[in-house]
Amino acid sequence: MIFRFASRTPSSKTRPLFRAAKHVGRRPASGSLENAASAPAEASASGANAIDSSRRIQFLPLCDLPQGVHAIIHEICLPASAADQVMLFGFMSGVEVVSGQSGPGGDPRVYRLDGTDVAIRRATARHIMVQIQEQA
Amino acid sequence: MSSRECCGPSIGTGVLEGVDQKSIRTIALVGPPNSGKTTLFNQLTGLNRKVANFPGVTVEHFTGHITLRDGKRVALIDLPGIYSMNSKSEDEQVTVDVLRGKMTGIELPDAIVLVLDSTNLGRHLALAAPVISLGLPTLVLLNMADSLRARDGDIDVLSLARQLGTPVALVSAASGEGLDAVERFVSSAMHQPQPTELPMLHDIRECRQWAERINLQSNYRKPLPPVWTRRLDAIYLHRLWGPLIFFLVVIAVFQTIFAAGQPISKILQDALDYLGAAISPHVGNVLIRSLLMDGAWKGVSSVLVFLPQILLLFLLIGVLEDSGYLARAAVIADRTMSRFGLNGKAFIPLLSAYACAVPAIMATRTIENKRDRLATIMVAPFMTCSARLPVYTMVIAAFVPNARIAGVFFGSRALAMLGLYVIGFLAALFTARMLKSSILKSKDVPFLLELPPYRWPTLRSLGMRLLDRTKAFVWRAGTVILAVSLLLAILTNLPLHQGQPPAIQDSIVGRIGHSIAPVIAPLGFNWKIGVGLLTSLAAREVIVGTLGTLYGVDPQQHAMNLQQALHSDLSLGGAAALLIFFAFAMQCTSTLAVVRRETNSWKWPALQFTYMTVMAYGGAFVAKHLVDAFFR
Repeated sequence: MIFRFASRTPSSKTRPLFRAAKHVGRRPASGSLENAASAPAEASASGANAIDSSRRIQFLPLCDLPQGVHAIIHEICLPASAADQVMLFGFMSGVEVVSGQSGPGGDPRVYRLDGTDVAIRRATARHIMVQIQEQA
Repeated sequence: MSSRECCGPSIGTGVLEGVDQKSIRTIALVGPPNSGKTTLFNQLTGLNRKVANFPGVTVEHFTGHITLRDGKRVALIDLPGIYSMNSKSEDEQVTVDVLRGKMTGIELPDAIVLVLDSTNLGRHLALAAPVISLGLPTLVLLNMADSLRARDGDIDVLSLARQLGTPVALVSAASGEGLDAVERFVSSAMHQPQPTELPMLHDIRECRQWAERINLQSNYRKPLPPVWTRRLDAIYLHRLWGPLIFFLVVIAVFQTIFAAGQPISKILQDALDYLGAAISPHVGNVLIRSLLMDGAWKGVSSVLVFLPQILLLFLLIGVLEDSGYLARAAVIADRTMSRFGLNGKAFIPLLSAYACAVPAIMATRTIENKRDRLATIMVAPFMTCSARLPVYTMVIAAFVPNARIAGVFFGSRALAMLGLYVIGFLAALFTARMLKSSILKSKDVPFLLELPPYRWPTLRSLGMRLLDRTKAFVWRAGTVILAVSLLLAILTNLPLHQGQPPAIQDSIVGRIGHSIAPVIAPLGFNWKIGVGLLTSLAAREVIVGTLGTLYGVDPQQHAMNLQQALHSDLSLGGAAALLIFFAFAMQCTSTLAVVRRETNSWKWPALQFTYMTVMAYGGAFVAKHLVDAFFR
């Protein structure tokens, strides 16, 4: 069992590992849906008896999610009105998201969630924290 | 009334008292953007409102009528798409106002037809909660049933109907499948929806969870991902190929307009000349013949010949819009747009301004942020609208030799045309940057654009666009341009000297032209061009008709065609100045009127007119002197 993300070489623009850790420290998980809240707990439980250190919980901003990788949205760190707007398009904690194609230079990027393709700018995706989904 | 305004997690329990005796007279079409409301509207009413494959095409309400089999007529109100009942943008506000009975001139509708995309029910069904809780009799139509089946999706309609407490039907608005459900709904007794449960409406998350539950209980099987859309996006949004294809598409559009449009224009020109020559002998009176044939006919026909090019432009824009490529182009262009402070949503209105600024300014209603919307309105008229096309084509055909550049693919005339489009676009970006860093500063709002699956453009939709455009173009040629041409023809023959018409420069038109000549002389324009500039204040292409008329009645230029006559009137520098002037100037009363209406003040159109005129004059002056310096 490997995190699909961990198996990839991050591009120069994606520095998820330490950045993710920073985000977790700064914004502790709170107020999310049950399934999202249970996800970290599950991961840490499995991490307790794990030998593989890559099983740590990996939170990262959505904009750093490499193309083609699945993740679960963990938290939306946007002001209320902006958060409402992204939520209307399906960006909600607990929802699975896949990073897709992008405009030139990687911005804006298309994210697939719930059967819809939605393009958002990096500036917005930065404030959506996701957790990379384990691929069996 | 109060029972209609129910909200919160209430559960409808009974039939709305008294309402079931009343029959349905007005129905509102409600649904998320790009769910196919207008397609349905067109199918049911036989009207031809614009449809395209991207969210936010409809931005105002529009009422049509359905005639039922028993002869009864029901009003159907097409409304802009909404994602929720808490509107952020002006177009959504229209829908919310109509549904709450607050729109002046429109009564609260008797019933609602809620149109949802059946392939995207996870998200779309969340809108059912606030709409059903309005308490109006509602019919839920799950549109795009053909796509749902093709992609192996499924839903138990009866079960969904039970959960929602409303009739539900799987339909395909494009093919007309299942639309008899609307007639059955209208002729049956009216019932208030009786859903088994409703979520807290202000909580988006709860609405979504509610929708998930209902979908689950209705055995909703999500359709498979659209394979072709994924494949095409892998190409069109490819890091390298994406932008390259984007540019190729743009270049192909211009090349087609020239390479295919010009020959058709030539045939039309010959046909119109032949027609003119055939009619001419039947007009008895010499003076009237001269007024009608040399004046009005030449004026009108010189504009009409550009119809093929304009139709080609609309056809190509139509293919881009209906296929879904436009939304991808918006993604590719967004980074450039954001650098200049333009909202990501501004791209689609700006692109539609290539057809005409008036609908483009209407389309800015989809931009939530007021300041961003104003900035987009202010720059939209810089985008090269189709009314500039005749002017550009006329001048380019007269002054740019037809040479091949880069092999057989690209002609020098198409390149010159593309250059003018680019100049207009750059002026728009520059102006946006200025506005956004000064008077229209605002915080960034999230840019969210839904990318619809690719679809084949339908012949019906494309045909309707072309028909609409032809009607509008011919109408303008037959009204404004005919009137201006006729008036000019008369005024060039006045005042009479001993019963004889004066030499053209001594006529009333000549005197008006000469009086403004000093102002435009620095741009290399003579008095005839000056008269053209004056009349083009009504609409840009009027200058073509005006010059057609003036050259027609001037004995020295009578035998020349428009291009030759223009050549005798303008230097190369003057021609460049004329092109730049038209690229920047705000010569369109309809645009000014719509800006006034949409901004609700005279301040913005006045500022826009002044700014663009100053820029046009300055730009033309620079262009003339640069061209004169380099090509002399």
